Amino acid sequence: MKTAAWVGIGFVAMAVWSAVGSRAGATHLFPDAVAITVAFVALRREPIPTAAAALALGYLAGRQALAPVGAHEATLVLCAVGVYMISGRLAGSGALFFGVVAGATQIAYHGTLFLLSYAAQGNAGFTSLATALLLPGALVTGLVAVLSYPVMMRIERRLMPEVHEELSW
Amino acid sequence: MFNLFYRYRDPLVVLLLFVLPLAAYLSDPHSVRNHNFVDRASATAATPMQWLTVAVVDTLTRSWRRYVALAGAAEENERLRAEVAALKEELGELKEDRLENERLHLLVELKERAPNVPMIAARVISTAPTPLFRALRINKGSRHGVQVGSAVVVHDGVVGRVAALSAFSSDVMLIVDTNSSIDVLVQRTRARARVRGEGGDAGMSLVSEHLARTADVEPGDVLVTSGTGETFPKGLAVGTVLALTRGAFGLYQHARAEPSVDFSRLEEVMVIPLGFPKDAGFAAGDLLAPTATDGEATPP
Repeated sequence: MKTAAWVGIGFVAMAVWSAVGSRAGATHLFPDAVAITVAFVALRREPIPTAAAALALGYLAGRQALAPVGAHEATLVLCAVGVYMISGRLAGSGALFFGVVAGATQIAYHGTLFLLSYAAQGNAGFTSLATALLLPGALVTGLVAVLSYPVMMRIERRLMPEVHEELSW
Repeated sequence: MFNLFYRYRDPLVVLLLFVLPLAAYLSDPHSVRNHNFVDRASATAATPMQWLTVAVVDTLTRSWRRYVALAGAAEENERLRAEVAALKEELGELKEDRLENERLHLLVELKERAPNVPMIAARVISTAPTPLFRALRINKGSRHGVQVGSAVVVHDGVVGRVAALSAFSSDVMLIVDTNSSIDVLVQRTRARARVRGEGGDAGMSLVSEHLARTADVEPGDVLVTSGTGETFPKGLAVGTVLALTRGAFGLYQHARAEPSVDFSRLEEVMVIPLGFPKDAGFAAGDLLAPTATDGEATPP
């Protein structure tokens, strides 16, 4: 349930950023709220909630993108699990680390989506633009992730307060 | 079996969560289906947020553009201010040119009214440095044919006479100077008199000498040059009688007159060298026409 809250937050962030992008005209350079949310969840949850959140956010993102069913979902689940596994080995923390992870998540997300689309359909839409904006988009996502990390941590503490149990001898 | 599943629950569930959508996608990678209930619900939930976001973005964008437009307007305002200042300067110059043209036109008219009187146009270049004397300097001197004693006139009347001379300039004693004296006629009655400067700072006025007690003079009468002597041709306006004073006895009455010329506004003058033909003169009243100033219409 607490992971579902992050799905809701990710959904709201995605809706807001996509609305802002509709007025900016450079949508692809906007931060990927879904990637940020998935990366954050992957760093703090177990694999199943992480995969579930990624599936849900992938579904919502895919619907808004009018993408074929399953493309975003599968890709995000793969990325989320990958972040979960790799971050556990890196043992990093802090806003900067989160920014790097979020940026890498976006690269993995968009890159995998591109490869999957290419493999399944034989082509992928807006290939040149997508590949050209892959790194800049990741940088923007990483930057926004760093800036939003304190807020996300505050929300996380509200969702999952630390419980201090009294020691009993 | 259950323990095996429990042991590998996480990988299995995650794998399932990955494989199911992947299979759905691979089964029909080109399908773009219509929204189902969940899709519509998510779209319905997202719409007000996106509408609000777009409204805020549009408002901010408009405000920003307005700000930029205002910044542009400020620059344009500065440019227009400079342009207005330049145009004002140009307008002032044109106005000056027009006024000068009007003054010169009057001088030309003066010349045309006495074609046989030689005249030298001159420009006032300074006034007396002390308040005790009423004099001015013009930019024409002996090199231009000006002589000591030459009359200096304008369209309105007599200004004075050249009292000092240099090669390229002349100093003119105004008729209101206490040392100035000029023979005049009362234009209406032809009564003779002599006027000199009163010398008062306030009035810049003239007083008469040798105006016969029996002469028919009234306030408002115009005094013109008599034409006697070699300095002033006959008929040039000198002033207008303001008041008369008659003593209980004596041969003369005293008239106080206001000069025809506004000495404070002199810029161009005409110099009449000595030696003009004796029969030359200005018709009576010719120089008393009201002068239009600053482009204002002269009342009829």
